[in-house]
Amino acid sequence: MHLAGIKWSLFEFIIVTSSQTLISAHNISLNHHGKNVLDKVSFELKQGEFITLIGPNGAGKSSLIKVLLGLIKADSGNIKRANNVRLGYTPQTFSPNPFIPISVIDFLNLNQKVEPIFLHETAILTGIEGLLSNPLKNISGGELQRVLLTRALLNKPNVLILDEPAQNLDVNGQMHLYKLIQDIHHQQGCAVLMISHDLHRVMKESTQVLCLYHHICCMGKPKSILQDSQFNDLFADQMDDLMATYEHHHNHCHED
Amino acid sequence: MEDFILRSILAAVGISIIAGSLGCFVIWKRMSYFSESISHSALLGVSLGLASGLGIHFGLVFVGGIFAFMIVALQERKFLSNDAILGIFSHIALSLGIVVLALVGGENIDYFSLLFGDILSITGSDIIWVYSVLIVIVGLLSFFWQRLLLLTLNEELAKAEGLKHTFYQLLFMLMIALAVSVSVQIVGVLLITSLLIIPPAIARVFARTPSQMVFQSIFISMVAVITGLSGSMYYDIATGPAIVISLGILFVLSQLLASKNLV
Repeated sequence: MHLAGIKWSLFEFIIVTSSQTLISAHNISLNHHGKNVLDKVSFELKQGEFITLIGPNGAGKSSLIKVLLGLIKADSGNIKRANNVRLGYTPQTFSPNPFIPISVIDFLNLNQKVEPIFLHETAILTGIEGLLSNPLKNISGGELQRVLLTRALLNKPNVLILDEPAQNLDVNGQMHLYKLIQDIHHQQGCAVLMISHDLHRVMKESTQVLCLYHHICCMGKPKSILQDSQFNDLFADQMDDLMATYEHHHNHCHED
Repeated sequence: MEDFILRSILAAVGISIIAGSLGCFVIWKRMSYFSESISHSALLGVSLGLASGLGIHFGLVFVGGIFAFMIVALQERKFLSNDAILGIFSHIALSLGIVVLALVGGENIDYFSLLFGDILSITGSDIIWVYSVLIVIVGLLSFFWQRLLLLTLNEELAKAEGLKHTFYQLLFMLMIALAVSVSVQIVGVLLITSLLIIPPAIARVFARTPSQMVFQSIFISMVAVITGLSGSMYYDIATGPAIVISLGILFVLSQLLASKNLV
């Protein structure tokens, strides 16, 4: 009987961990100055999933993330977080206060206890090991994104929320960052929710694409890039390994 | 050594530690005008403290705290720009202070020493007040150091990592009000802000880490305050201006060093 109990809980454990819902949003609505920013948005992020959130500017993507993180309060609806959720988050814009003299490594250690060996391993993974002693305010936009990602990873997250991480990067920088995110998703197995600034190209890694314009317009899986005439440059071959197109399943136009 | 000299040196050392450490956050948070407005409320604090019989330190912290709350409440409404709000409060506070002081203080109030500081007015109980405030402020800053620093470095990231912004903002305002209450007698109402911002501004040139900046600005503050005190006693000039002039000389030197890339 006792043995059976153990077996059952092990079975339950496997079932639960293989598809555990980590964060779920149910009918989230948010108004700002009388405007409907989010309109009954619902979705789930499960263990190991990679959700890409796309949508035009002003569609409410960042607002949705902020509601999920608890930075702003939704007017209605509810958010459920599993008890074991450990969040890693990189904000869309991050300008460190330029008046504080602080190095990259001190920033990574700030307000969290990190084993020095783990910090160096993570810095090597994200490719910032050469920047650790640099002043935080002197590093470039691409480097800053990798530093933020490192900080998020130091918390050993099982959910990674990335708000337009590749926004201000050139093609080369974007490629490196996407490769890194893909590796992290593969190796660490954490669920990823990423906002993308690109409406039609998303990471191949995505298990689900959500298109948001105040409400969720459509969702689905990405398709491979077969022939993208707009992307016949130097990086196309390498980018193909990482990126896929997303076909929108609605024909109504929201903006422009 | 005469008693009043010992008392003023003791007060100067304590105030340097308070202002030097808290001042770094004033510089980082770009809140020098905020602390200016609070320090201008000090005259009102002194007069209410005298009138109520509860003592000037109580009056200073009480009035400073109330003004800080009102400023933040008005800023939250986003109806006026911050510089306008701070300018309005700063001058209302100063004028109210002068008028109320004239009403309750009678003939024998020395405005000049309140506005510009007077070391001769420091008593033994003032020293106790300075060191009590020092323990509170140094204790709070060391305990919350990492969290305050993260919030100051980037508010959004700190909030996302679970820090409550409003709590730390209120804590910070309370510390400013406490710092003002200990500095009035030695530097005067009009010059308190310089004690908070000039030492960290000098240390910013040399410091490589946030904690280095705090210790250097405490050291710079001690040097300038003791130099100013000596000048003030020797030449019989107002203490506040003497301290600010020595801070000013150090500031100019530091900027010259920085522009010649000597540091």
